[in-house]
Amino acid sequence: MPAPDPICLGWPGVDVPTTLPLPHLAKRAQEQPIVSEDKDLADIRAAASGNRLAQSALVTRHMPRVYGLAKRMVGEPALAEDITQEAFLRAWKQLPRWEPRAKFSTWLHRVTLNLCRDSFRKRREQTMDELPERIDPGLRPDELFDQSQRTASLMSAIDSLPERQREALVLCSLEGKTNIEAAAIMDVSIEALESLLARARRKLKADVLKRGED
Amino acid sequence: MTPKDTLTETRIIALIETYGANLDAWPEGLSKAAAPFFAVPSDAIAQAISEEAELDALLSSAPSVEAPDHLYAAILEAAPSSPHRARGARWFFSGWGTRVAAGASALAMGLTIGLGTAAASAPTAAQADDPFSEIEYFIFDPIEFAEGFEDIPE
Repeated sequence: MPAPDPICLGWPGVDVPTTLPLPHLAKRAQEQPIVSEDKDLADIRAAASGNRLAQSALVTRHMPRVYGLAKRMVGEPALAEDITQEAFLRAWKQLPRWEPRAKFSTWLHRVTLNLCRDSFRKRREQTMDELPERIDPGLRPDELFDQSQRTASLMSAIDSLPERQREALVLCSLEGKTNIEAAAIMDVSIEALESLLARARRKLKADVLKRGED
Repeated sequence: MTPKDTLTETRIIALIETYGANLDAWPEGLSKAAAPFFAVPSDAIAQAISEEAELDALLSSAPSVEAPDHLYAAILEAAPSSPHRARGARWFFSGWGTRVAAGASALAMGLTIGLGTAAASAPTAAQADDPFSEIEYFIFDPIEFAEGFEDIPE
Protein backbone atom coordinates (compact mmCIF):
# COMPACT_ATOMS: atom_id res chain seq x y z
CA MET A 1 0.00 0.00 0.00
CA PRO A 2 1.46 3.39 -0.89
CA ALA A 3 2.30 5.71 1.97
CA PRO A 4 -0.40 8.33 2.53
CA ASP A 5 0.33 11.82 1.39
CA PRO A 6 1.57 13.57 4.55
CA ILE A 7 0.02 16.82 3.42
CA CYS A 8 -3.43 15.26 3.49
CA LEU A 9 -3.08 13.64 6.90
CA GLY A 10 -5.63 15.00 9.32
CA TRP A 11 -6.54 18.11 7.39
CA PRO A 12 -7.17 17.92 3.67
CA GLY A 13 -5.75 20.94 1.95
CA VAL A 14 -3.13 21.60 4.60
CA ASP A 15 -0.03 23.23 3.17
CA VAL A 16 3.10 22.34 5.08
CA PRO A 17 5.93 24.65 4.10
CA THR A 18 8.97 22.87 2.79
CA THR A 19 11.46 25.44 3.97
CA LEU A 20 11.25 26.35 7.60
CA PRO A 21 13.23 29.03 9.38
CA LEU A 22 14.79 27.37 12.39
CA PRO A 23 14.80 23.79 13.67
CA HIS A 24 12.70 24.59 16.73
CA LEU A 25 10.26 26.60 14.64
CA ALA A 26 10.16 23.82 12.06
CA LYS A 27 9.22 21.34 14.78
CA ARG A 28 6.44 23.60 16.04
CA ALA A 29 5.16 24.16 12.54
CA GLN A 30 4.94 20.40 11.99
CA GLU A 31 3.08 19.99 15.27
CA GLN A 32 0.60 22.66 14.26
CA PRO A 33 0.49 22.72 10.48
CA ILE A 34 -0.21 25.95 8.68
CA VAL A 35 -3.64 25.74 7.13
CA SER A 36 -4.74 27.35 3.92
CA GLU A 37 -7.03 30.34 4.21
CA ASP A 38 -9.65 28.54 2.09
CA LYS A 39 -9.88 25.78 4.66
CA ASP A 40 -10.27 28.32 7.45
CA LEU A 41 -12.93 30.18 5.50
CA ALA A 42 -14.95 27.01 4.87
CA ASP A 43 -14.72 26.10 8.54
CA ILE A 44 -15.65 29.63 9.63
CA ARG A 45 -18.84 29.49 7.55
CA ALA A 46 -19.76 26.04 8.80
CA ALA A 47 -18.87 26.93 12.40
CA ALA A 48 -21.06 30.04 12.25
CA SER A 49 -24.04 27.85 11.40
CA GLY A 50 -23.37 25.65 14.41
CA ASN A 51 -21.39 22.85 12.78
CA ARG A 52 -19.56 21.20 15.67
CA LEU A 53 -16.93 19.56 13.47
CA ALA A 54 -15.95 22.88 11.93
CA GLN A 55 -15.86 24.57 15.33
CA SER A 56 -13.72 21.76 16.65
CA ALA A 57 -11.38 22.05 13.65
CA LEU A 58 -10.92 25.79 14.22
CA VAL A 59 -10.18 25.28 17.91
CA THR A 60 -7.78 22.40 17.25
CA ARG A 61 -5.97 24.40 14.59
CA HIS A 62 -5.63 27.74 16.33
CA MET A 63 -6.04 27.27 20.07
CA PRO A 64 -2.52 25.92 20.84
CA ARG A 65 -0.85 28.91 19.22
CA VAL A 66 -3.25 31.40 20.75
CA TYR A 67 -2.65 29.91 24.18
CA GLY A 68 1.10 29.80 23.51
CA LEU A 69 1.13 33.49 22.66
CA ALA A 70 -0.96 34.41 25.70
CA LYS A 71 1.13 32.24 28.03
CA ARG A 72 4.39 33.71 26.74
CA MET A 73 3.05 37.22 27.07
CA VAL A 74 1.36 37.12 30.47
CA GLY A 75 3.23 34.26 32.10
CA GLU A 76 0.43 33.01 34.35
CA PRO A 77 -1.25 29.87 32.98
CA ALA A 78 -4.67 30.70 34.46
CA LEU A 79 -4.64 34.18 32.97
CA ALA A 80 -3.47 32.78 29.63
CA GLU A 81 -6.42 30.36 29.69
CA ASP A 82 -8.86 33.21 30.39
CA ILE A 83 -7.40 35.23 27.54
CA THR A 84 -7.59 32.27 25.14
CA GLN A 85 -11.22 31.61 26.07
CA GLU A 86 -12.11 35.28 25.68
CA ALA A 87 -10.39 35.43 22.28
CA PHE A 88 -12.42 32.48 21.03
CA LEU A 89 -15.60 33.86 22.57
CA ARG A 90 -15.07 36.98 20.47
CA ALA A 91 -14.34 34.79 17.48
CA TRP A 92 -17.62 32.88 17.91
CA LYS A 93 -19.50 36.19 18.01
CA GLN A 94 -17.66 37.45 14.97
CA LEU A 95 -18.10 34.34 12.80
CA PRO A 96 -21.55 35.14 11.32
CA ARG A 97 -20.24 38.54 10.18
CA TRP A 98 -16.79 37.31 9.16
CA GLU A 99 -15.38 38.87 6.01
CA PRO A 100 -12.16 37.43 4.64
CA ARG A 101 -10.29 40.72 4.58
CA ALA A 102 -7.64 39.37 6.94
CA LYS A 103 -6.42 35.89 7.77
CA PHE A 104 -8.43 34.38 10.59
CA SER A 105 -5.25 33.43 12.47
CA THR A 106 -3.90 36.99 12.20
CA TRP A 107 -7.19 38.41 13.49
CA LEU A 108 -7.31 35.90 16.34
CA HIS A 109 -3.70 36.62 17.34
CA ARG A 110 -4.37 40.34 17.27
CA VAL A 111 -7.40 39.92 19.54
CA THR A 112 -5.25 37.81 21.87
CA LEU A 113 -2.50 40.38 21.92
CA ASN A 114 -5.00 43.15 22.70
CA LEU A 115 -6.38 41.10 25.58
CA CYS A 116 -2.83 40.62 26.86
CA ARG A 117 -2.28 44.38 26.66
CA ASP A 118 -5.53 44.93 28.60
CA SER A 119 -4.29 42.62 31.32
CA PHE A 120 -0.98 44.53 31.46
CA ARG A 121 -2.90 47.78 31.71
CA LYS A 122 -4.95 46.45 34.61
CA ARG A 123 -1.77 45.25 36.27
CA ARG A 124 -0.20 48.68 35.87
CA GLU A 125 -3.23 50.28 37.47
CA GLN A 126 -2.49 48.37 40.66
CA THR A 127 -0.35 50.18 43.16
CA MET A 128 3.34 49.45 43.02
CA ASP A 129 3.09 47.65 46.37
CA GLU A 130 0.69 45.14 44.91
CA LEU A 131 2.75 44.43 41.82
CA PRO A 132 4.49 41.07 41.82
CA GLU A 133 8.22 41.41 42.21
CA ARG A 134 10.08 41.08 38.94
CA ILE A 135 12.61 38.30 38.85
CA ASP A 136 16.12 39.51 38.17
CA PRO A 137 16.75 38.30 34.62
CA GLY A 138 20.43 37.90 35.21
CA LEU A 139 21.55 34.96 37.29
CA ARG A 140 24.96 35.02 38.89
CA PRO A 141 27.72 33.98 36.46
CA ASP A 142 28.44 30.82 38.43
CA GLU A 143 24.81 29.80 37.95
CA LEU A 144 24.96 30.16 34.19
CA PHE A 145 27.09 27.12 33.40
CA ASP A 146 24.05 24.89 33.14
CA GLN A 147 21.94 25.02 29.97
CA SER A 148 18.65 24.63 31.82
CA GLN A 149 19.57 27.50 34.07
CA ARG A 150 20.50 29.47 31.02
CA THR A 151 17.09 28.77 29.51
CA ALA A 152 15.43 29.83 32.77
CA SER A 153 17.50 32.98 32.68
CA LEU A 154 16.41 33.60 29.10
CA MET A 155 12.74 33.19 29.96
CA SER A 156 13.09 35.63 32.85
CA ALA A 157 14.88 38.05 30.56
CA ILE A 158 12.06 37.76 28.01
CA ASP A 159 9.53 38.44 30.77
CA SER A 160 11.39 41.60 31.73
CA LEU A 161 11.44 43.02 28.20
CA PRO A 162 9.26 46.06 27.53
CA GLU A 163 5.81 44.99 26.36
CA ARG A 164 6.11 45.80 22.64
CA GLN A 165 9.61 44.34 22.37
CA ARG A 166 8.39 41.16 24.01
CA GLU A 167 5.48 40.95 21.57
CA ALA A 168 7.83 41.26 18.60
CA LEU A 169 10.26 38.69 19.96
CA VAL A 170 7.59 36.17 20.96
CA LEU A 171 5.83 36.41 17.60
CA CYS A 172 8.93 36.27 15.40
CA SER A 173 11.48 34.26 17.37
CA LEU A 174 9.29 31.90 19.41
CA GLU A 175 6.01 31.57 17.52
CA GLY A 176 7.63 31.50 14.08
CA LYS A 177 5.55 34.27 12.52
CA THR A 178 6.94 36.01 9.47
CA ASN A 179 7.76 39.70 9.77
CA ILE A 180 4.68 40.53 7.69
CA GLU A 181 2.36 38.44 9.89
CA ALA A 182 3.89 39.77 13.12
CA ALA A 183 3.60 43.37 11.93
CA ALA A 184 -0.04 42.78 10.97
CA ILE A 185 -0.81 41.21 14.35
CA MET A 186 0.88 44.05 16.22
CA ASP A 187 -0.61 46.62 13.85
CA VAL A 188 2.75 48.27 13.17
CA SER A 189 4.90 48.79 10.10
CA ILE A 190 7.64 46.32 9.14
CA GLU A 191 10.24 48.95 10.04
CA ALA A 192 8.75 49.43 13.49
CA LEU A 193 8.66 45.67 14.00
CA GLU A 194 12.31 45.35 12.98
CA SER A 195 13.27 48.10 15.40
CA LEU A 196 11.42 46.42 18.27
CA LEU A 197 12.88 43.04 17.40
CA ALA A 198 16.45 44.36 17.23
CA ARG A 199 16.10 46.15 20.56
CA ALA A 200 14.63 43.04 22.18
CA ARG A 201 17.51 40.86 20.96
CA ARG A 202 20.08 43.45 22.05
CA LYS A 203 18.60 43.51 25.55
CA LEU A 204 18.50 39.72 25.75
CA LYS A 205 22.14 39.51 24.74
CA ALA A 206 23.06 42.05 27.40
CA ASP A 207 20.96 40.35 30.08
CA VAL A 208 21.74 36.71 29.39
CA LEU A 209 24.82 36.26 27.24
CA LYS A 210 26.95 39.18 28.40
CA ARG A 211 26.20 38.58 32.08
CA GLY A 212 27.21 34.97 31.62
CA GLU A 213 30.58 36.10 30.34
CA ASP A 214 31.21 38.42 33.32
CA MET B 1 22.87 45.43 -10.31
CA THR B 2 23.70 42.60 -7.91
CA PRO B 3 22.05 42.15 -4.49
CA LYS B 4 25.34 43.16 -2.94
CA ASP B 5 24.96 46.58 -4.48
CA THR B 6 21.62 47.20 -2.76
CA LEU B 7 22.68 46.14 0.74
CA THR B 8 25.50 47.69 2.70
CA GLU B 9 27.55 45.98 5.38
CA THR B 10 25.92 48.20 8.00
CA ARG B 11 22.46 47.19 6.82
CA ILE B 12 23.42 43.52 6.82
CA ILE B 13 24.69 43.74 10.40
CA ALA B 14 21.48 45.52 11.42
CA LEU B 15 19.45 42.73 9.81
CA ILE B 16 21.54 40.04 11.54
CA GLU B 17 20.83 41.78 14.84
CA THR B 18 17.14 41.81 13.98
CA TYR B 19 16.42 38.41 12.45
CA GLY B 20 19.38 36.43 13.78
CA ALA B 21 22.26 34.53 12.22
CA ASN B 22 20.19 31.96 10.35
CA LEU B 23 19.30 33.19 6.89
CA ASP B 24 16.35 30.77 6.77
CA ALA B 25 14.69 32.81 9.52
CA TRP B 26 14.91 35.97 7.46
CA PRO B 27 12.19 37.32 5.18
CA GLU B 28 12.58 35.56 1.86
CA GLY B 29 13.58 38.52 -0.28
CA LEU B 30 16.15 39.76 2.20
CA SER B 31 17.71 36.34 2.74
CA LYS B 32 18.38 35.96 -0.98
CA ALA B 33 19.92 39.40 -1.16
CA ALA B 34 22.06 38.79 1.92
CA ALA B 35 23.30 35.35 0.88
CA PRO B 36 26.47 36.67 -0.85
CA PHE B 37 27.45 38.53 2.34
CA PHE B 38 27.12 35.33 4.33
CA ALA B 39 29.07 33.30 1.78
CA VAL B 40 32.14 35.52 2.11
CA PRO B 41 31.60 37.52 5.32
CA SER B 42 33.67 40.51 6.34
CA ASP B 43 35.15 40.49 9.86
CA ALA B 44 32.35 42.68 11.18
CA ILE B 45 29.64 40.49 9.63
CA ALA B 46 31.35 37.30 10.87
CA GLN B 47 31.42 38.71 14.40
CA ALA B 48 27.75 39.68 14.23
CA ILE B 49 26.85 36.20 12.93
CA SER B 50 28.80 34.58 15.78
CA GLU B 51 27.10 36.70 18.47
CA GLU B 52 23.61 36.29 17.12
CA ALA B 53 24.02 32.54 16.54
CA GLU B 54 24.56 32.15 20.27
CA LEU B 55 21.30 33.96 21.00
CA ASP B 56 19.51 31.93 18.30
CA ALA B 57 20.67 28.72 19.98
CA LEU B 58 19.41 29.94 23.31
CA LEU B 59 16.06 30.99 21.86
CA SER B 60 15.64 27.59 20.21
CA SER B 61 16.00 25.99 23.66
CA ALA B 62 12.99 27.91 24.97
CA PRO B 63 10.44 25.36 26.18
CA SER B 64 7.34 24.92 24.07
CA VAL B 65 4.02 25.85 25.63
CA GLU B 66 1.36 23.14 25.87
CA ALA B 67 -2.28 24.15 26.15
CA PRO B 68 -4.15 22.32 28.93
CA ASP B 69 -6.56 19.63 27.74
CA HIS B 70 -9.65 21.07 29.43
CA LEU B 71 -9.30 24.36 27.54
CA TYR B 72 -10.39 22.74 24.28
CA ALA B 73 -13.71 21.56 25.78
CA ALA B 74 -14.30 24.85 27.58
CA ILE B 75 -13.92 26.83 24.35
CA LEU B 76 -16.18 24.49 22.38
CA GLU B 77 -18.81 24.70 25.10
CA ALA B 78 -19.18 28.40 24.39
CA ALA B 79 -19.41 27.90 20.63
CA PRO B 80 -22.70 28.85 18.95
CA SER B 81 -25.28 26.12 18.50
CA SER B 82 -27.07 25.55 15.21
CA PRO B 83 -29.37 28.34 13.97
CA HIS B 84 -32.40 26.01 14.26
CA ARG B 85 -31.70 25.45 17.92
CA ALA B 86 -30.85 29.09 18.41
CA ARG B 87 -34.14 30.09 16.74
CA GLY B 88 -36.01 27.63 18.97
CA ALA B 89 -34.39 29.10 22.05
CA ARG B 90 -35.21 32.64 20.93
CA TRP B 91 -38.89 31.69 20.34
CA PHE B 92 -39.10 29.94 23.72
CA PHE B 93 -37.85 32.93 25.65
CA SER B 94 -39.92 35.39 23.64
CA GLY B 95 -43.13 35.27 25.75
CA TRP B 96 -45.18 32.94 23.54
CA GLY B 97 -42.92 30.05 24.40
CA THR B 98 -43.19 30.65 28.13
CA ARG B 99 -47.00 30.98 27.88
CA VAL B 100 -47.32 27.74 25.98
CA ALA B 101 -44.99 26.04 28.44
CA ALA B 102 -47.05 27.34 31.39
CA GLY B 103 -50.25 26.03 29.79
CA ALA B 104 -48.69 22.67 29.09
CA SER B 105 -47.39 22.31 32.62
CA ALA B 106 -50.80 23.25 34.07
CA LEU B 107 -52.44 20.64 31.88
CA ALA B 108 -49.89 18.05 32.89
CA MET B 109 -50.41 18.88 36.58
CA GLY B 110 -54.21 18.57 36.22
CA LEU B 111 -53.89 15.23 34.50
CA THR B 112 -51.51 13.96 37.16
CA ILE B 113 -53.83 14.93 40.02
CA GLY B 114 -56.91 13.58 38.23
CA LEU B 115 -55.34 10.26 37.35
CA GLY B 116 -53.85 9.95 40.85
CA THR B 117 -57.23 10.42 42.48
CA ALA B 118 -58.83 7.96 40.09
CA ALA B 119 -56.16 5.41 40.85
CA ALA B 120 -56.66 5.78 44.61
CA SER B 121 -60.40 5.10 44.35
CA ALA B 122 -60.20 2.51 41.63
CA PRO B 123 -62.14 -0.73 42.33
CA THR B 124 -60.32 -3.96 43.11
CA ALA B 125 -60.17 -6.65 40.47
CA ALA B 126 -63.04 -8.61 42.16
CA GLN B 127 -65.16 -5.50 42.34
CA ALA B 128 -64.45 -4.74 38.78
CA ASP B 129 -65.73 -8.20 37.82
CA ASP B 130 -68.98 -7.72 39.77
CA PRO B 131 -71.07 -5.01 38.16
CA PHE B 132 -73.45 -4.88 41.19
CA SER B 133 -70.81 -4.57 43.91
CA GLU B 134 -71.22 -0.82 44.21
CA ILE B 135 -75.03 -0.89 43.83
CA GLU B 136 -75.71 -3.32 46.71
CA TYR B 137 -74.86 -0.63 49.29
CA PHE B 138 -77.92 1.23 48.21
CA ILE B 139 -80.39 -1.74 48.42
CA PHE B 140 -82.50 -1.72 51.62
CA ASP B 141 -82.04 -4.86 53.79
CA PRO B 142 -84.86 -5.10 56.49
CA ILE B 143 -83.03 -7.70 58.64
CA GLU B 144 -79.92 -5.56 58.87
CA PHE B 145 -82.15 -2.59 59.58
CA ALA B 146 -83.85 -4.45 62.52
CA GLU B 147 -80.52 -5.65 63.96
CA GLY B 148 -79.41 -2.10 63.99
CA PHE B 149 -82.14 -1.20 66.47
CA GLU B 150 -81.08 -3.99 68.86
CA ASP B 151 -77.78 -2.23 69.49
CA ILE B 152 -79.46 0.94 70.75
CA PRO B 153 -79.52 1.09 74.60
CA GLU B 154 -82.93 1.50 76.16
